[in-house]
Amino acid sequence: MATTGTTQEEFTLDTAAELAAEAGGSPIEGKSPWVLAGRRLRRNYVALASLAVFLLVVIVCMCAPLYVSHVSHIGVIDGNPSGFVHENGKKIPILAQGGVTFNKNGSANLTAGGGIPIGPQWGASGGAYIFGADELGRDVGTRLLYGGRNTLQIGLTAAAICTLFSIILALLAAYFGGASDWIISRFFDLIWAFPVVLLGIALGTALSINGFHHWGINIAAGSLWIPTAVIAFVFIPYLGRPLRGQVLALRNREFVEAATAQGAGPLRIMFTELLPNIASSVLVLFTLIVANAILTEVGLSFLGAGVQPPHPSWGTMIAEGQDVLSSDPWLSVLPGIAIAITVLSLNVFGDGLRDALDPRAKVRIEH
Amino acid sequence: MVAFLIRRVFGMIIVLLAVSFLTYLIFFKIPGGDVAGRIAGKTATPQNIASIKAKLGLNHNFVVQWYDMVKQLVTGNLVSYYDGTNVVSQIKQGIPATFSLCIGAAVIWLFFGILVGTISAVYAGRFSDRAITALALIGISLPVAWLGLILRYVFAEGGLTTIFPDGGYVPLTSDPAQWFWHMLLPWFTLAVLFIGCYGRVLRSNILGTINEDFVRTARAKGLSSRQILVKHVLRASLIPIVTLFGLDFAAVLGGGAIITETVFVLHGVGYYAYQAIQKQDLPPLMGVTLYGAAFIVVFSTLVDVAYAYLDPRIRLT
Amino acid sequence: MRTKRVRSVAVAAVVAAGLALVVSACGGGGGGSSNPTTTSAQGKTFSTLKVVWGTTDYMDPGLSYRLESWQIFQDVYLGLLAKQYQTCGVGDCTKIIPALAQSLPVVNKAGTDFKFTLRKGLKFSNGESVKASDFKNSIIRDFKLNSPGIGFYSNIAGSAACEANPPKCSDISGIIVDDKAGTVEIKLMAPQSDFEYILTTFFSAIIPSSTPDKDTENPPPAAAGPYYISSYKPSRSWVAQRNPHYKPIPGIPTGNPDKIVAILTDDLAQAAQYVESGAYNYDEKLLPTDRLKELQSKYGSQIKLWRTPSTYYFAMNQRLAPFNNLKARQAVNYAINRQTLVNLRGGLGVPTWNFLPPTYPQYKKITPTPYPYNLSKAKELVKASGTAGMTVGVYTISDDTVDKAQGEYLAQQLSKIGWKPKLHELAGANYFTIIGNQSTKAQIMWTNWFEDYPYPTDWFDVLQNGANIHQIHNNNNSNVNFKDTNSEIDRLGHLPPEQAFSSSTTADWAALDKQLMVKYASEAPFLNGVLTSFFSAKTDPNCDVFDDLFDDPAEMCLK
Repeated sequence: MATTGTTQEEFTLDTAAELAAEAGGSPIEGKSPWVLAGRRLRRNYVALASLAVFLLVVIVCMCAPLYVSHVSHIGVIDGNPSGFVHENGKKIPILAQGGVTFNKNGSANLTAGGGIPIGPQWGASGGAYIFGADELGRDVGTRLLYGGRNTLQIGLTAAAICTLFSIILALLAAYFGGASDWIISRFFDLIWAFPVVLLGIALGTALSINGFHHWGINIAAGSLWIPTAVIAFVFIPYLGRPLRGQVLALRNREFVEAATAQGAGPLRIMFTELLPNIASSVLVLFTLIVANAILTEVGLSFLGAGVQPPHPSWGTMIAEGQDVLSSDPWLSVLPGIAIAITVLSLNVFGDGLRDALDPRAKVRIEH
Repeated sequence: MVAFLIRRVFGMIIVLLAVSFLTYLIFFKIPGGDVAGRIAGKTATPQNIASIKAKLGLNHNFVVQWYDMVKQLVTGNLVSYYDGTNVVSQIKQGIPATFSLCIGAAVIWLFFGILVGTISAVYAGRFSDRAITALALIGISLPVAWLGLILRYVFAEGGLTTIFPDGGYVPLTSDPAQWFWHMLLPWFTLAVLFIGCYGRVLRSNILGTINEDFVRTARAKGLSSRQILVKHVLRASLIPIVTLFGLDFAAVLGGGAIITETVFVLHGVGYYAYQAIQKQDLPPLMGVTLYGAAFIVVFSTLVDVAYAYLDPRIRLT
Repeated sequence: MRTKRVRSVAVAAVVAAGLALVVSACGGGGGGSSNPTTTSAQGKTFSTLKVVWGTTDYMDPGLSYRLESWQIFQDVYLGLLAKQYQTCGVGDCTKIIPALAQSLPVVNKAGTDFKFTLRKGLKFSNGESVKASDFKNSIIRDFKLNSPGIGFYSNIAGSAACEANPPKCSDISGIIVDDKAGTVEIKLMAPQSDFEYILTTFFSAIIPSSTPDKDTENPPPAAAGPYYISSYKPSRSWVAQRNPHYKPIPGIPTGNPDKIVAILTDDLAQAAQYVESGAYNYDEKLLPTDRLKELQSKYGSQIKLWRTPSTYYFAMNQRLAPFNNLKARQAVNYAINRQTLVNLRGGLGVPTWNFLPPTYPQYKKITPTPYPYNLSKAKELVKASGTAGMTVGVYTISDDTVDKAQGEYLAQQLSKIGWKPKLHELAGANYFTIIGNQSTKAQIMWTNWFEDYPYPTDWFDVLQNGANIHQIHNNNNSNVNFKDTNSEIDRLGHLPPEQAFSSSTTADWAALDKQLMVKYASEAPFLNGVLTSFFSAKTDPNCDVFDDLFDDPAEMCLK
């Protein structure tokens, strides 16, 4: 409880003394840990700002179908590679024209290098190709927004599914112990031992190309559910193991014993006693998993094992841009920046959340 | 200790068998369709397909096929469906590139991760801490593929300069200077993610350890801050890092650097796996997966042993 | 052949159905004069040529069907005859020279009997002498390996048993060899004007009878040419060295470098950089298409572009809806802007509406342009065909930028004219096997064809003859099958030798091209390809010889 140090605002230890000071002498009210955490979070402007950025990105991308076509007048998978943009009275081809002429001995001369897409127009052409075109004449801005939509959808859903299953498995394993614990732990071990990236790519490729048509479930190849399921599956041990460890620690505490003595059944105990106590871990881990899920989706789509063409995702856009990297770096750079902003804001917020939920984390070293 | 090891080895074997079964399931059963037709390669005629089926035992039942494949792998006889090359020897050929990439990057990320984590913990709250934390957070928010591409473009393809080589691997034995030069960009790409992560983990470990009783005791005994930091705090904080490092290192060695290898065209094990996946070529995939899983389970055990050794409170069970 | 994958030629059933074999003649007549013959005229030897090369399927001449392998085979594996080593381009690639045979064959009047005499004192790179029976055994080995080239030999007398059951092939009675006299006689069942060309393919190369009857790449089989391949590591590297037992043969380059070392990669930017940095002398891969202008202005004469006898096209499966309907096929032809497809290739191509490439004397440009780009017309045709709203599976290659872009472009256009395209992007390694399999039920597919030899049978018979439709390894991907064109192809493929190049035959081939493309819209061709060669600063680009399909590494030299 060292309070030495020069700046007071670093310390957010909610001692009784501090609360008393706040309450200005009146009777001390006990506050639940959640309220205290909320307070701490509210004081963390950086974390709140990050959360705002993240939510902004999510809203802008998820709502893309509502407004994008009114701005760019181009569909997300419609390209116009043979077309032109009109600006300042000039007609500029969207994809550079190229061609060759031949010499008598069969060698050829390049008259113009073709295929290079038009760069960012920034509104000069009235909303079309604001960020330029990609190599098939499609609008980069439109695809960035729709791609974000796909990426975020996959990331958030996968994280949610993963969290749900991890909680259930962790609770079952730790509460019942014995055989169920053994099976579930081995299940975690198995997925954990499988080189994650390889598993994700292998599953993603096998399923994306052919779809999943077994046991009565029919998912078409190229459906977004495939990368979602793959990512959710792959991250289960990342959540499941720590949660299981936590529940194990909690399981033998007195309050569980007390609940059992009162006649509460396993379900009740798991959901009303154990679950709330791991909730803060779940929250923090959830933000971490969302960030990782987004990055994993980008990796999978980059390698062709995630979202299938012609649909965009931030990962596929990076891959598509790599072939024209030297002549039109925007195509790969933009999605990368979008990802960095999204994931960064999530990480900063996650940090802030973790600090808010665990006050002992902030202490200074004295010199 | 011996009993622990024996039990662990036994467990490892079971896990590896299970992993191979899962791989098999993914690539044989899930895609469906006629495997023999798919892999009959360039020379398929109805007679040829039949003979391939017989040769690969595709007529047998599913479990027998899996067993055969594992047996072939273990005896070093597993060959690719696509071009008949021996899987184990191809993996061996990929090892120099993968090991170069992973060991080099690991050295960098461990060194800088610890450095960065310590500095930001010591100067916690001050500008340097905030700056480092910001950089670290940015580092773990960048997609590896994108970072690799941008580095390639900026430093090798003329974005800023063309000093660096544009991907590719030069064996250490043939030209050490070029080997080093070619590896710099890939090392950095792979390390950035981990430096950020380790820095932050170490920082929070150190800040957590500061509060421990034994530190207070040391301070009461009159030890200087520097001595406390290095001899006691750091040592205690590094223990979880050991765990983390062991598993991360195993993961990248085992083919987890697939994206870095693909972006920089390093013909390592990860690259080999990626090509096999594209061609839906099962034997190499089986080989690489087991190779990777083997690293992970072995390192898992090593890490547990090391952990028990370093932290006297832990006992191996 | 295809740039990327094997083409397997007809087997058994095909042969039985029609003896139509790919006759060929090198493109040529019409256009300007050819360059004077240059075969290692430079004669500047040096120790090592370092090259950047693409990955390939096999290094076994009995099995490989990729440009990447054939480009080095030209200096390694020789047969009885060879195509002349010269830069041909427009015209004059029709010349055949005797390689291991002393002279061109003595052919009987009917065109069904070919007699060769081997040169004396020939030896393989492993020291064994070249015998007449080695030729016969090389052909039989092709059958045993189920080589993609066995269909070439279906017109040889006595080959029926081998065609029916290739792995069990033991003898072909129509090939008569005499080791003591060093003679080879080949009897055909019907006249076949392209037969001599077939003997220039690498499936007909002569390798020792002692070569094992299986894929031999470690190292590849011993060779009778100026070089032999001393090592091969798939996807990584190969090395070719001078054949110590080779004695110069007129017309065949003896080779400037003592050793050729190749590094294999499929990354275009990386390949270019190897040569830019000077570490390697020559880049076989296509230059990165987005940097063509920049590279050209920077490296000028170090870069050469070459026209090739190739056509890139979209095949439309006529056994399935919607492309069993003529209007649907016409719609596709109207919906693609061929210039845009050339642009997607960086400009390295020429738009085309013909199936045959312009390098052939039998090529006659179809005028007026049959399908000018017109989306609304295409839309009307789709509606009129009654297939609007149908799901159409579009197949293309996933790991090649240009091929992928062209396939995705097609899908984009199809969705604009009223269909629902579904993209299937497959790795190049599996691509042709999968689309060549009828059970895939691919509806429309990206594909290409580079000539095997310069006579139109290589195009029409293999790719558009209803008799050459196969269950697997089908090259007639569109399943084109029209009675009148089938019989015309058969007729033109079996003319007696003196008629094969007559003006009326030439006109007939051109008319066939027009009929298939206009009356039947059987395919949607869009461009003829241009390839690039990139030389390092130390290498002299003037030594370069581009003989029809590729550069000749043996003739490269340093400044």
